[in-house]
Amino acid sequence: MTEQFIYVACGLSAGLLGGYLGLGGGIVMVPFLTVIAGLDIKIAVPVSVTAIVVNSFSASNEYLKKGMVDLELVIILSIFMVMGNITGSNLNRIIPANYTKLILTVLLVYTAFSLLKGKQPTEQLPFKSNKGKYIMVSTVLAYFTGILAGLVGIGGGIILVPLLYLVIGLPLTTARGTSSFMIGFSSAAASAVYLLNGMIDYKIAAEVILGIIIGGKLGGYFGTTAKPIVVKILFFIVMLYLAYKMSYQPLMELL
Amino acid sequence: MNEKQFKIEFIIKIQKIFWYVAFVYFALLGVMYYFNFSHTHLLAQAGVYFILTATILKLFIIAEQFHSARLYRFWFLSYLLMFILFSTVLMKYLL
Repeated sequence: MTEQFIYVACGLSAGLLGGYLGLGGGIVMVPFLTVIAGLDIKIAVPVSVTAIVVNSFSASNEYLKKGMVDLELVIILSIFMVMGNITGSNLNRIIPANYTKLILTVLLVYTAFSLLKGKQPTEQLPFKSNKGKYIMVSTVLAYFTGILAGLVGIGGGIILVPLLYLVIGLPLTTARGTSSFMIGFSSAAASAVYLLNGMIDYKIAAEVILGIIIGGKLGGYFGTTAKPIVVKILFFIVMLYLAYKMSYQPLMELL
Repeated sequence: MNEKQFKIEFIIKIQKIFWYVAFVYFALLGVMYYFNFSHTHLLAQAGVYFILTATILKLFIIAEQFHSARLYRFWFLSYLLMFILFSTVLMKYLL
């Protein structure tokens, strides 16, 4: 019974933090499930990608309502990201758990620093779309983002948003909206691979999904408010702690 | 994009319905797991299948919206994406 609450709480806090800080949720969920709930990363990753699909339903709807999703771009980039996700989730079955943990640790540290110093670029910046110019580069980057996302069980928003904003030149909110809509398709592909290989623990998945459904909605509601620096610092510390906990054992075994 | 033909509200409505269904379904599953009901495991499995089917259905709706907006290139690409998603199943059973 306690376990059930821990899994629901992991999903809830991942959804809440993810929505509040503008992340997909996976980057928080996998470390929570492995470090706090004590799950093996090979179980946490399939659960995470499945929960992200549901989270995308509500997260992207808010952006769709405001017309902040570029659906044409969603379709083009999703093709490559989905292929990447299929590759990544198949790689997850081959790559040892310790390496998966180390890759996720690098992403965690990157996320922590980018959130802390991340000066939010303003919407007033001159909007210059490079959609036609850099589409080929973007498809390649989307493919590699997909590989990473499928491998470590994240949505990939942490890489996708800068790609859409800096390379394609979409306005920041549109980049976020487009990313959150794309993540639904790409995570579904990874989830299907794990499902067909019998790697999803349905009991844990059901509990985490329930948590992320509620947390994602709450996070989206609070996400529009300003984020005090205290919250950012707190989140930075938590992320670094999770990164340390997750990488310590694999590093000791490798060295 | 042909805004008049492309009904974005339809996609919003469908996503909202999927979200509510998922919420009720998984909340019930949570209760069933709490009281240790039998066959909950099978229902949880069906829940995961529902999520994936809902995603495919959403993509189908987007594809048909592109078709009615006469954006045939994106209509074709949407079906290509759907095929790639289905290829995970094909890869499993054909290779």
